[in-house]
Amino acid sequence: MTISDEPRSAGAVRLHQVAAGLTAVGLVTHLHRTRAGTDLTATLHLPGHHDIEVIADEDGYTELRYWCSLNSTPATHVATIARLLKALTTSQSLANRARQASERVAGYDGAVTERAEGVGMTGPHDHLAEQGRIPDQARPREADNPHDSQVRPDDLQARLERLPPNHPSSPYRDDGSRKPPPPDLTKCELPLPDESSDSPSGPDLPADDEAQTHPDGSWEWKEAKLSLERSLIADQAIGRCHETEGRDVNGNYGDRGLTPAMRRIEVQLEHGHLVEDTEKFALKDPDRFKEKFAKLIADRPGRDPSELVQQINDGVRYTFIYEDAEYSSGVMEVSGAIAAAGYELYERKNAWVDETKVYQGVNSTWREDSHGVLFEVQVHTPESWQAKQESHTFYEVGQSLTSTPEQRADAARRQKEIFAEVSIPPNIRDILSYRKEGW
Amino acid sequence: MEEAQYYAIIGRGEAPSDPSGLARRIKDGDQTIDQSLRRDLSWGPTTAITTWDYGEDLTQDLRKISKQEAGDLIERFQEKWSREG
Repeated sequence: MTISDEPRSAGAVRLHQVAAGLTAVGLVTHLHRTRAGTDLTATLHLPGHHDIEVIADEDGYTELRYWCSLNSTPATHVATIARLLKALTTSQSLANRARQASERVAGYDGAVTERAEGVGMTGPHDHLAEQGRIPDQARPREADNPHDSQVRPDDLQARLERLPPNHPSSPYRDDGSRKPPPPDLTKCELPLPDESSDSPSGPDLPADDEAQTHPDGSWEWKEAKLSLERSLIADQAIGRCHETEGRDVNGNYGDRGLTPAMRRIEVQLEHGHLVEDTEKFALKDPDRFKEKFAKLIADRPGRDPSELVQQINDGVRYTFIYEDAEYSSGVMEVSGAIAAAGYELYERKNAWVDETKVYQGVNSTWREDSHGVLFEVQVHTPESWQAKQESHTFYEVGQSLTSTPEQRADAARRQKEIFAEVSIPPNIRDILSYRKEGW
Repeated sequence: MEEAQYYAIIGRGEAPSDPSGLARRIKDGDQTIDQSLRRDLSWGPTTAITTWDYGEDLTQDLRKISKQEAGDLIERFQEKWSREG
């Protein structure tokens, strides 16, 4: 903690005590004495994460600033903010405002900004006004402060205007000149790699086809529902999948993770290759992950949800393609290569030989030990992969809890017709199904 | 005439004799309705049977059981879930 001078007011004394307390709990804390009073900045450094910052002044005005991980879902983001608000809120009016704001989260359309302008975080003067007291005159603003005359004292912007020029949030440079306005970051946003066109949260979808995160943090999409607690369980599992898959927050890959490992395996293969856009489809869409989790909970109420979420094997998934002539040997080739890379085979199912099923291909479940995450590897011929793509729309109809019985029956019939056209590769019975003991 | 086929839902790591869920497919003329048993012993919509028929998913298996076996399973679930609260 650095303190530039001895405190000169009761508010400054209090701020010194706050600084000492924050230092004691591990934040790097600085106090700044300016003509307008004393301000505090404190930073919590977390290895591998963005810093968390606290800014406070003598009036009790406080900012808590942090970065939400892009690996987390909107539900986690909302839940974190809701917990912070719960910790902060002693005023029912603030709780109501937070609830109104979060009602807009799932269907963000720009109107939230307009509402937020009217809501604005209550500053110290608002608090005094609510109590029927006159504003604190003990620390009058300097008459020669050019910033104070330009803004309303109860505006959040005014708080920023009054920060010392060397303060990171001050709109002024050290020499007193105004900094350029911050860029509109929404113009810089790029779609995440997993935000494919079939994402249920896509902006082009009608409102009733969008996954919803409710103000209480619960999640819902069509008839699939998760409570806040279960949504958070899913978020944690999705986070583990992201971590295991290997891309960083910018969508780039290094050496670590499953996708780079699969690319290394692909290079070793004599004939097979990964499908096009492997990186795009490696991660299951978070809302589809939640939908699957919600269905498992509903269908198997005898199992603990935290156990069920660990059985979802396709949060991370890959598909290899082999021409018909090399397919049977290729399935075993790619299996051997994945095992040699250190992953454990839990299950392999040869659906080609199961005449009771529609689907054709070989699917397998593997486990990545360091994160304890299951992942799926499918092996297809060009024809069976094409059939899977062609029948995907019908698959979605069959998987939707809101489809009618007639729609489901029609979708099943169309899927059968498409897969019936697929040639069966030679020696297909050489591929043995397998399941790890106890799995 | 309405008829139902029942299915025990068996997750990975579960013994076939100890399923964790129950589903049924009700056929009434041209209509087919799939349902699974909820913890409050009501029946709700499910895609578990469709998923199993398709054959791609490796999360759980279904096993066809008789109406009598389904009744026994419901009794077991009722006893277990009321004990767990």
